[in-house]
Amino acid sequence: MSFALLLAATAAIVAPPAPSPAPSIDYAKMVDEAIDGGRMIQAEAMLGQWRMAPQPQDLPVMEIATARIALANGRTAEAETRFAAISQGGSTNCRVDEGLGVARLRLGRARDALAPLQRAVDNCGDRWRAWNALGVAYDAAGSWALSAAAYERAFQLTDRPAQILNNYGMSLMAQGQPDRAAAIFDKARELTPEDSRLIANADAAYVMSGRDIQRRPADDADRWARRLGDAGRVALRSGDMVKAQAYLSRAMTESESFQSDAASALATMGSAKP
Amino acid sequence: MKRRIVAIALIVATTACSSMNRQVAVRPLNGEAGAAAQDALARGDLLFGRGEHALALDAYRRAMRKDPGDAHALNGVAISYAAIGRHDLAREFFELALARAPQDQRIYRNFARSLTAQGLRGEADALLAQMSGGAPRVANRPTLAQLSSVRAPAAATVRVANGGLERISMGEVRLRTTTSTLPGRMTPQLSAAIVTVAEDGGSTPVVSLSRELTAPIARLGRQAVATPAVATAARAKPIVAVANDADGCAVAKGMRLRATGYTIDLITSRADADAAGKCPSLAGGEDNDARFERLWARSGGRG
Repeated sequence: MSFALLLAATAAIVAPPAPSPAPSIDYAKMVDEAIDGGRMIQAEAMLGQWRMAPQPQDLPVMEIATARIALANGRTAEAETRFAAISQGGSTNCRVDEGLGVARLRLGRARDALAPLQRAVDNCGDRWRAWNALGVAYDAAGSWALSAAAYERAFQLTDRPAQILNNYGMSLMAQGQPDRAAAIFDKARELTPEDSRLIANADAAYVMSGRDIQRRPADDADRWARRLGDAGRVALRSGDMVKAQAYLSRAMTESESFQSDAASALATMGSAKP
Repeated sequence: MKRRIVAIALIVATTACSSMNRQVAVRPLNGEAGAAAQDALARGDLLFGRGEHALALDAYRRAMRKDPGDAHALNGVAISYAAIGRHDLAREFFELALARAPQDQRIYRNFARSLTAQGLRGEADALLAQMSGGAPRVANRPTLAQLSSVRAPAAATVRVANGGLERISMGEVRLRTTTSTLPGRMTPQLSAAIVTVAEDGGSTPVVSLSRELTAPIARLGRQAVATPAVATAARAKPIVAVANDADGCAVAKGMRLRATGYTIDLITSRADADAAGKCPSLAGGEDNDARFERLWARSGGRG
């Protein structure tokens, strides 16, 4: 009796809970979608789960996912090395070419980025990130018509239009068309009004096109003063001394705190006077 | 001597086990953590259903500590953070919940609502498109060349609602507005309108306009201004909307939370599912689905 009881107790402790049938998860697809969606925490967590029970055919795909995560997390040099190794191994995956091109762009190697990016858009014409990166690469080469066409394709495909508008606006600025750039930045700001990068770029376009920047209701005194200071420096760089002095002076007077950048820019102007 | 001690011990043990009157309960030791996690989850569900989101967050976090991979707990932490307006913190837990239960459409919907509440509509649409397995819907857009066509800057006066109330006497205040005619320059402008403030004996002051306001009133976006009566009604009862999907299953349109106006996907009604109950549900089986159902039913979200 007691032996049987002990046996039953042992069995109850040792027996694992009935395994529930695990739903089949397409990790490759899920991780890719998470990376594309900018959900890096999800992507890394799923990659970790995937690595616990990989199938032999999964290993190359996992390597691509690892490289993409490195790129998305800002480890650009590591990503470039990984993508290059995968590409040299004969991979024709569009994500590899796209990642390699983007990594090389970020490393300042725009000329080396062109070939993989062109391969990416040739093989996968629906990859807006590849078109966008190709536009940036063409900008670096001064091929404005090609870059405009690439941005156009990216803009029609993307779910993040503000990003493409920003890059196209920068392209127009580089082409010396600040009027058109300002119009593009305004459109982008309608989509993401609080994006500080867009605000700064739009201010620069406004100043370069001879228009005044406007204070937004959300700007407190210090933020507005910083924008005025930045506008002053853009005017200074453009050679418009009168406007530069006006903006920098307003940055000093309208701020509730000392604006050291504006003060030093004003001092530079003062010392530059004959 | 040793043999005698061993023999006595065996006899005592056998005697103790042979008692027919004592009930012996056997349960696995490693089940305690799981039971505690379930308790914490149940408590979190209950508190969330009552609208006590901060307390629910604490309970869900406790459950998550016991079982860091539980999608229910992770989703609970995420929706609790979202319900108190901390979408930045909610994001991490939505992502972890999706990693654990990537086929649970409710987590996608909750996450999408959190993104929408932050103004990230595009990202929310892309997430929902991924959920349904299709490409994100891209609206027909004008071309970049059309967008970059330069128009003459509008010379219209820019009006900014940056004024305030200035007390004139015990019973009167003056509404001050600011008008900007030049970009970046704001000129204070005092309107002539007098606003009379009267106390009705209650704690909430009643504001009446003694005469028609002549000052320009700035429009703050497209947000409708709720009248006190409407606002009171909205506070009294969460707003629930339910629709059916193509398969006839109830799909959530969400429950608007009182405090933040944030909407949470709180429906899991399977009443109109087919006989096999094949509506889309949480990955991981009926157990988890039932827990979500309790959560959402308690939250008043059942359609």
